[in-house]
Amino acid sequence: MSLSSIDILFYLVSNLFRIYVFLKFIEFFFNNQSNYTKIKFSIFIIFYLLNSSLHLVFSNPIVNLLSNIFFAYIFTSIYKSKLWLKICSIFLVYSINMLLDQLTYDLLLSIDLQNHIYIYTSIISSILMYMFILILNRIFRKKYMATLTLMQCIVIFTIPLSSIAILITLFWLDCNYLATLIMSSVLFLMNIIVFYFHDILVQFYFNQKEKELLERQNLAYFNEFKLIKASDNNLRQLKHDYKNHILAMQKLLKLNQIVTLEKYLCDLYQFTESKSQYVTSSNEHVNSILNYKLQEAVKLGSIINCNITIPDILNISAFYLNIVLGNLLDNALEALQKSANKKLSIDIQLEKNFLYIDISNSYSGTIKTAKSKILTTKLNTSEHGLGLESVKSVVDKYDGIMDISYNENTFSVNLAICNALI
Amino acid sequence: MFKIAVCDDEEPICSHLETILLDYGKESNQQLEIEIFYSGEDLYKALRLNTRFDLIFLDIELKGLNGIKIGKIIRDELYDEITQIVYISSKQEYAMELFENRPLNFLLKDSSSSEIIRVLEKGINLINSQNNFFEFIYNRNFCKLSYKDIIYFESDNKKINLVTNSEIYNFYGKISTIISNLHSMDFIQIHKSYVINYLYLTEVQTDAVIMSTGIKLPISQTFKKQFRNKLLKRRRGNLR
Repeated sequence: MSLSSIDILFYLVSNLFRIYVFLKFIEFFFNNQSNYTKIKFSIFIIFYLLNSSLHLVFSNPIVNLLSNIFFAYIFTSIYKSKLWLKICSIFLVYSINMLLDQLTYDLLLSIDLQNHIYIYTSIISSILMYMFILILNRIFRKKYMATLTLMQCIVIFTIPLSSIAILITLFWLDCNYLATLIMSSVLFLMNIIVFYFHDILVQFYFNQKEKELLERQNLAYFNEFKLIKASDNNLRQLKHDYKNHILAMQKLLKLNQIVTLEKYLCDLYQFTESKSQYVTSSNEHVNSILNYKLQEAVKLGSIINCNITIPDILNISAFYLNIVLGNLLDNALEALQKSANKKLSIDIQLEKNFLYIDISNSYSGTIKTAKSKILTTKLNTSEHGLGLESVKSVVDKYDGIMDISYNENTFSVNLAICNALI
Repeated sequence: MFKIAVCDDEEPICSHLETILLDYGKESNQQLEIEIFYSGEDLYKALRLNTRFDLIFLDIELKGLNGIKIGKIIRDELYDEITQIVYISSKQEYAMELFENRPLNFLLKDSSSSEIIRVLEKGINLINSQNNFFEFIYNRNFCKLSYKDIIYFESDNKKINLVTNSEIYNFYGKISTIISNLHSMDFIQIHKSYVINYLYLTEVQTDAVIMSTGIKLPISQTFKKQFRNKLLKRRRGNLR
């Protein structure tokens, strides 16, 4: 089959696109790791140059098959994975490629298009394969892709679809062959640019989410640190008082003022009792978090109702308990500050290995919502407002459930999580 | 008619509780039969003689056979999930073992009468809801089982396995009809083939539940959210 120079040009352009899509498909199986971009690019160029030359020189299907598989294998070598997975992925990609080729060929035949059918087939089937990869990503890489809305994905799809429509029309109209070549190349370029931007967009959204997660973690660590500092201060205070009390009692003993000493000891005992904390459950972590936050509530003059029945040790780590209780109480305290009638009630129970946490507080004003997410009324919106979202992420992590409800004067959060080791 | 036991080695606590319970009984026109035990051993003797109580106020810090051990005997030796246990203690320090006995609630020795009444009412409601009967046809006989004897229902092809502590009843039926016949917050569907009695649930895990017989039943994805919602609902009914 003698090929005109335009045929060759056409082939080179379409092969470029085909190999790009081919390699993108293989990349899908290895979790879209986007390191080594320079190496990937060089392999791509070498693949393209050698593969095209071999095809043009030998025109042998076996040579084509071997060269495709060989270079595909070299491409997979940059990924750390088992050999059988690499072989399977190459096999799968190649078969789907051939399947799409066959389908496109039959389609073009059925609309009576005989001229240059092989070239046209290769072009259209490449675009189809790229759409196929987009669909696969949407289905199987939900976490990665789900950051784009369905609408956005549909819009992205229309570009390749329209390109195919334009191409088929062009081929069918049997326009000037060179003109067709130029149009196709332009459409290819356009598609590649759109796909490239699509990748960037998805990566951007993904990074945003990661950043938010890190911010939340930082906040949690910061809270933990504040707790440690507060208890440290408490301890120092106690030691200081302790020394003074002992000195005073030693003096009384020396002066043989036994009755006064007795009264002193009595008073001291009373004092330690009354300075008791607001919360004394069996669990030290919960105690420390709650006491720290409840200090604030008491300062505001709120009526606090605490009912806590949990064991001394929970499987849920203190870190996550801190995130949940810390954030919920922070929100409650903010609301209490602005409310007239200050009431706060906290119920924490462990029942059948399920931990129930219910926090209700009074509030004044209105709850701001947007897209069914409760917005913060706090001033520093960038820092706060992540509170309920952080709690939700812990609840999801422990496969639990969270329910938020409110009426005109009370706001309640009821959540339950599995007391599991994660 | 509710049988309540109070077991505490401190006499004033026992009489204080008894007074509160009797007063409540009179005011709310409920028939309460109250029996007092001053030691864990006495209570144990009564239990061995097959006396059963609807609700036991049990002191954790008894000398000898203490509250933890008695709770364990009730749940693990007598396989009784129906008797409600309310633990009383002087300090709010609860070891994890206490929770493994699935008590109804915890009370401090200096709890107010309103708190005690609240726990009592919670127990009474629970017992009342379990006193309904489930009717079905077994071996061409018309059978009736009290809710409190049913551990769980399992669907097996076109038949249903009704599992109790003593035996398994196998009869024709569909899970959907069973659910519509059960009028109780205590029976929850966790899987298209399983409906469990909450009272016999010992442990909730992320993808499964463990029943009192030790068997682990799966929670399917479709019912997960529903199951957790039902648990929250039950609890809201119990909170003030």
